[in-house]
This record gives sequence, C-alpha cells and structure tokens, in this order.
Amino acid sequence: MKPLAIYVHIPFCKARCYYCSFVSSLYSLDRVSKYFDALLREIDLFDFSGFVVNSIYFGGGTPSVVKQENILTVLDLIKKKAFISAEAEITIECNPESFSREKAMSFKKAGINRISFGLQSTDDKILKRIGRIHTYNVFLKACSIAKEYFSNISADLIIGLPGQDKRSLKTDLERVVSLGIEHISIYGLKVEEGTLLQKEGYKVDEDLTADLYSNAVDYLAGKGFIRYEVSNFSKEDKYRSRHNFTYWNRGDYVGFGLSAHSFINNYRIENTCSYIDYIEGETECKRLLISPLESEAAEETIMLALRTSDGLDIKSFNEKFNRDLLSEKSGQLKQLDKFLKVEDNRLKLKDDGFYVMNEIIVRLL
Amino acid sequence: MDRQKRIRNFCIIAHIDHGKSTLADRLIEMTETVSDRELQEQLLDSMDLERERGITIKLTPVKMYYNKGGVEYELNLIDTPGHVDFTYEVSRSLKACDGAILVVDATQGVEAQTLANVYLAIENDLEIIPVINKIDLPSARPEDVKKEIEDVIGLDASDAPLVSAKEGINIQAVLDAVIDKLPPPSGKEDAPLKCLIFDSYYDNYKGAVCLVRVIDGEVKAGTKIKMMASGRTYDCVEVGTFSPQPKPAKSLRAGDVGYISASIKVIAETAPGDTITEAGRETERPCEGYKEIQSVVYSGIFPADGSHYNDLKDALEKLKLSDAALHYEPEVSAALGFGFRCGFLGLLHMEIIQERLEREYNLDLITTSPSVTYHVHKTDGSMVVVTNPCNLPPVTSISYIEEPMVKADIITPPEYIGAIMELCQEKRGTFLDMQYIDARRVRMSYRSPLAEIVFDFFDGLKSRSRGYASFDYELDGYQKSDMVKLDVLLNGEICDALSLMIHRDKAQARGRILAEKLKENIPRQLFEIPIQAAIGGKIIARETVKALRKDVLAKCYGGDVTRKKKLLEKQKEGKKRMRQFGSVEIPSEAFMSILKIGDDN
Repeated sequence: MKPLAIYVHIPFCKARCYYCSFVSSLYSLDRVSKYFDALLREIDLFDFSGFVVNSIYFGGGTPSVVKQENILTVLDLIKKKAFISAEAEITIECNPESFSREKAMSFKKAGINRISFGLQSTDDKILKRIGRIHTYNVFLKACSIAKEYFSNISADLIIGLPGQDKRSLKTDLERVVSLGIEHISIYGLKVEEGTLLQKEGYKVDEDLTADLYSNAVDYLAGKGFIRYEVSNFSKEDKYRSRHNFTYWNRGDYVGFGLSAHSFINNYRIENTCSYIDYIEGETECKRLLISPLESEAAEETIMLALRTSDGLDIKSFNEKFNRDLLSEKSGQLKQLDKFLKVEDNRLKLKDDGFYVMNEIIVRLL
Repeated sequence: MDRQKRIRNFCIIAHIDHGKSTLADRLIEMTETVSDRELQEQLLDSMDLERERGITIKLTPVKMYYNKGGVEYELNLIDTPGHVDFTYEVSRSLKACDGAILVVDATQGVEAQTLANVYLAIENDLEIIPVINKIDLPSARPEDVKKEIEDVIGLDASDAPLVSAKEGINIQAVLDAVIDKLPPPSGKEDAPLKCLIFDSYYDNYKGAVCLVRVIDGEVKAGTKIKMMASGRTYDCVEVGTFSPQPKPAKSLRAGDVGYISASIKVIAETAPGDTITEAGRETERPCEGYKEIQSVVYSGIFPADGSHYNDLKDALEKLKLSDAALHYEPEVSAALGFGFRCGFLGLLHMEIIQERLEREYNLDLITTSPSVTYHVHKTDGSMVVVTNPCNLPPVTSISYIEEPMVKADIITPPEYIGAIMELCQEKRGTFLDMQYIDARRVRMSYRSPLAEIVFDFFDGLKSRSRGYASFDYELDGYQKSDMVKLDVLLNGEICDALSLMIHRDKAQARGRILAEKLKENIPRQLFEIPIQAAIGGKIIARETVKALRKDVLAKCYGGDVTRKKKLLEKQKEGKKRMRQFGSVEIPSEAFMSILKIGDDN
C-alpha cells in the first residue's frame, strides 16, 4: 500500500492577521456549516483504496475556530473511508485564543496527537501590531492545557515582524523553550501582495531577519533543537513533522477543502480558491495542473530536498532521473563550495546556505 | 518650357513646433490631394514614431495641384526633418527645391533652428517666403515677429502671410505666394539626364527607391541609369510621384520631383546626395555637395538575452535597408558577449534606432554609453580614430587626444543668460559671441566639445531656461583635450562594457556617480561585490554590494509546491537577463542606469 498524507483546509478565522495572504474568511456559523457539507462531499468522493494514511493535517485559516464536532465529523469520515496507520501523525493548527480544555479533550479522543500553535511572537505589542487576537498569557494557558493531553506540541514563530529585534526574539525563544514543547517552526515574514502589511508599506529588514534567523538557529541548537528543515526545529528526530516530510520528499498527498493542493500518482491538483464555487461545486472545484515532466520532477526533487538537513539523496536521484548531478553541476558546486556540501552521498546545504537557498537552488536547476 | 513654368518645388522650414507639419497638412487638404478618408494628422510623418514624437525623420515629397488664375500648377512639397541630428538630410532636401516657406511662430519669433535652416536655404540659393503662423493665439505678436525676421534674418517680411495652420486661416495666401514668388524650375529637358537623389527608402517589393529631383533630361521605365558616385548602373523599372502615396507615372522630366525604382537591393547603393544620370549619355557635371554620411555618435548595442544575437543581427540588417545613416559592425564584449558597435547621426537618431529595434523587432537591448569619435595621436606620430573606449591605445603610447567640437547657437530671453552661461561653462564651452536680437531675445554663440552637447545639453538648456531657449549646432573641427578613459571594476575586473571617455576634470565626479548607480542596480548576490571606478590603475571611487543574506521561501503552505516552483522559475528566468561577468551577475538595468547619468546628478 502506498503511503498517503491528508491535508484538510479550514478557511475561517475570527480576524485576518495583517501579514496573512492565505485563503480564509471570517467565521460565521452559516458559512461553516455549508463549507463542511462540501468538505465531506469532497472527501467522500475520494478513492482511498491502495493507500495507507500516515498523516492528517488540519490547517488554515484557524481550524480551532470551528466547533470541535465539525473537525470530528471530518475525521470520522476519513477513518471510515481510509486505512489509517496506527502511528499516523494527526495534527491540528490552533490559535491559542480559540483553544480550550473541551477541545483538547475531544481532539485527543478523536485521535489527534499533535497540536501546532500559531504563536508568532510572545511580545503582546508585536502581536497587536500584526493583528493577532491572542496575548502571550492566553498562549501560556492554552499551552499548559495542551500539555496535559498531548506529548507533541509545536509553536510557530515569525521573524522579520514590525517592532521585532534581536532581544525580543531571544525572549520569544527563551520562553518557548522553557515551556518544554517539542517542536518549533520559525518562518521568515514575506510581505505578500494584498496583505495589510503590504498596504501600509511595511518592508522587511532582510539583514536583520537574516541575523534573527542565525541567532535562532544557534540558540535552539544550544537547547537541543535540531534544524531538520530550513524553518523547522525539533527536539528529537521523532518529533519531526512527518506530514511536512511528505511534501519535501514528493510523497503522495491529498488536500481537501478550499485552495488545497494534492499530489497523487504524479498529478498535481489544485482546488478552487472561491468559496462559492467550492460549496456549490462538484468536480469543477478541482483543477488538474499539468503532471510535472521528468525534468520538472527532477527540479522539484532538488528544490524540496535541499530544504531539509538530510539533503538530497544523490544516488537515488541519479537513478530515478538517469542523471549524474555532481558531474553535471561540478562548476556550480565548486563555486558554491561555501554553501553546499556532499556528505554520505547526500547533497546538503551548509549553515551559510540555508537562508539564501533560493539563489543556490536556482543554480542547480 | 511652358510645362516647367507651372511647377514649383519647395519645402517648409521652421524651428521645431512652429507648425511646419500642420501647415503641410493644410496645404495638402486645401489642394484636395488626399481624400477626407485618408486624412490623418501630420500626413507626412508616416512612421508611428514620428507622429508620437512630433518630429519628422524621413523625408516625404508630395505632389499637389492648385488652380490659380485659370492655370493649374503642380506644387511639389518636399518635407524636411526638423532636428539638428538630421542637418545633412535637411540640406539635401533643400537642394531639390527652388524655394522655401519659412514658418515662424507668431508667439515665439525667430529661434535657433529658424536661423540655422534659413542659412542652409540661403546657401542653397533658395527663394524664401516668410509665413507667420499661430496668429490665432492670444499671445501672437505678428508685427514684432515680422520686424524680427527683417532685423535678424534680413528677409523682407512685409508681405508675409499671417496664418493659422491649426485653424486653417489664410492658407490660400501661402499657396498664392508659392506660385507668385517662388521661381519655377529651369532645367533642360533635352539635356542628358541629371537627377539629385535627396532621399531613399526601402520597399519590400520594389527594393530601394530613390526620391529624386530631376534637374535636366527625362527618365522613364527602361532608362539605363547610373549612380555617379558609385558608378553602378541599373535598369529603371518604374518612375512616379507621390500624392502622397507613390503613384507610377510615364516619365519624370526636368523640374519634376518623384521616385525612381530600379530593383536596387540595398539602400546604401542609393546614397542621398548622389546624382543619377543615363548610362552612356552622361551629364557633364553631377550635382554638388554629395558627402558620405558620417556617424557622429557611437554606441554598443547588445541583446539583453545573449541568445537573441541573431535576431538583433537580422533586425539591424533590415533597418539598414531603410536607413542609410545607420552604421554597424560586430563587437564582442567580455561582459555583454556578442553585439554591435553602431554609428548614428546623433543622440536622437540613436534613440530612434533603439526604439525601432525594440518595438518593430521586439528585442530587449542593452546599450553602452554613447561615444563620439576621438582622434588619438600616438607618440610615434600616427593617429587612430577611436569610437569605442575599449579600443583606446595604451596610455603610454598616446601623445595627445583630440575631440570633436561644435559651434552652438542659443537663442534665449535675457533673463536666462546667466543660467545658460553657467551651463555652457559646465559643458566646457568657450564663449564666442552674444547679440541682442531685440529687447526680448539674445543670441549666444559657444564653441563646445560635441561630447558635452550631444548627451544631455538640450535637457539642461530646457530646464535652465524653462523651455524658452532654443539651440542649434554645427560641427566645428577637432581640438586637443585632456580626455581619459574611465573604467569600472567589478570584483576587481574591468568591465569593458562600462568604460567611457571623459574629460579628466569630470572623471572623479562621474566615477563616484557611476559606482553609486551600479550599487543601486546590481542586486545582492551570494558573494560581496566591490565596485570600483578607476582611471588608469588609480581607483577614484568605490562602493560595495553586500552579500545576499536572505533568499528563502519560508512556508510550504498546504503542499502548494507549484507556487514555490513558480517563484524559483521566475528567479531562474531573471538570471537569463543577467550578464555573467566573472562571478558577478549584472542585470541589464544596471547597464542602462548609467546611461542616464548627466552632470546635473
């Protein structure tokens, strides 16, 4: 049986954060119920045969904003239709503000075993500045509840935020590490088109962000957190996000919900971004993107694998695509010696390379 | 002879924007040469670029019929370009005429190009009819302007028609004056053929077509013609006139203006200024004044994407077919790869060619700093002509360098004299003379290096005189000058495409601006890039492009790999537009940014 990852998109929030360009709309009971009807319809149509589900991920939006029953119905349907591995990682993204003991209990009961908090910062001023609706204290409360029920908790931080400096980030890291959580994601802010931050003309200080990133990497390493992917850090290997690994290794995944993406049997599929189309749609809500050509598949493989500390398995890459990467790119590799290394027959980024990886990857494509 | 008495060959000369093309349109309308359906503003400017820029580049003759006193006259209007870059073209079209209408704006009066054009007309023995245009404007002062024409130019303006070409006022008076005051042609129909080529154009079906004024004799399809400068002979295939579209005719005879096509493949073989005669029955004396067109400004033109070299080559070949003034030869640059060194009549000509390459041939170009032609005298007594800074001989072998000079005439209201003098001094000009035309305008003459005039003088003049000053220039020999080659080093290597010739006094400032501009326009890369400006081995300015620190896509949102891939593909595509110079990638914008540097920066 082929391993499969499932992504479920919950496109509702209580308020839009100033940096967010993801597909999401304001929470309303009516919309939510129509949406979940459509979502269940979509899941029901999917043929799970031949797959073993290794991970399920509820992302958003804010999955914790909807009633837990909604989430549970989705999970029930998936369980009914699909074969789910006993070790499956089942994650739900939560905003500390909408997390509660009640939700924690029912999530756990339903088999969810990983909580990913959108913390972003522990500085209340910064949180307010970027339109987050929780405070650090609210997060503390949510986190302590979560710890009672879950042994795999992650927190997201963002670097490059307005008002942030080296000291505030250090405080963020100290606080998060002291809570004893297992996983931390650190995302560099990108001011996307159409976001409030973009409209107000906010520009990320790239040098400062690069400094923040390297400080974070150093600090977390000292606390036993390993950077296993450019933005992701875990205490032990077992706390690595298995779901994300499916993306990076070009494994099969199916995305349900508005704007969700799937990659199955070498086909990329993109769901509509229009709420109306989605709730009314049957099959027209899905758009088949062209199946990547072999050369594109090779490029994707490089692009995704280099994000991870494991890097690219050169031997299997060469075999799969009938290439000889090292000799083809020997000139580039020599020039990029400061940023790349070959170790255990794997091509990996060096520390200096992680934060400028686009520029490096582009040269290897 | 009766036939010739009913012909008038004339042109319209004017300072830019004084209404030359509008008046031409009215004359054409008035004589019903074009049907209303064909009416389009500025009929004679057929290139889109000409209409957009409001300038005339290519010459177009048009034949009109006008009835006066029961006699039908044939009027041949020969258009002239209105920009200093094209002085040679103006002088050629004047040679094809017997008279000229001088249009002067009733609000502006005599301007620098008015004078320059009048002098050209007088040199060519043309009868001149002054016409005062734009009398409909509230600020028109026709009587003052008449007086100016008499005082400054010395032409009798007492009978000058007062017209408004825009409003169509008094146009008939212009046509009457053309017939009454301009002389008819007086060639001999039975003499051997003698035609002046005053322009040529390329037609996809007919090949190079000559625009001619027949001086003596007759030419028709079948005549064996001979170009007197080149000695080449052809069989005439078709002759005709313009109305304003080409229209075949039986023959062209002494006094006529029209075209000759003879399946000539390359336009360079129809050199304007050359004389066409009949092979075997040649005229004794060719028309005077033929010169080969000399390029005044040179620049390197390269495809932004190196793989488009052949497209650029094809485009230049095609442009050359229709533009004999364009010169080009292959050039190889370490930074830009394969391209062409091109010679132009002036900066406007250069811009037009670049624009046509981009628009009509859909090319993305990188151009290098324009250069004039330097005479480099070597210590061994020999002289080399340098049009590309990269070809400058080693400094140790140079005795001295001469640069081309111009004599510039500027006409301005007196309140801007100070600012203009300052500008001329900055442009290394030498003051020659200053005369008051009247209480409101002054004519100033300067001798100045061409390189200073050609690049951004006109913009500077406009801004410092709020647009009131006008100017014109003519080449005026060479002068010894302390020129140096300013180099730019990227990561320690001289980038040939960025080198330029400059006067030593200005090198320091220019070097600093160059380095700053490049820093702004070269994106941060994986490695730090030092940018240095240097004269000889001496560094005079330095900037650094810091190493790239952040270039990463943070989140792989919901498995949306395509978004990430698109971004990387865009980045990869962007690299194609970059020039790899050593380990440095230079975007085309960086090359282009330094072209816009003026002394005013």
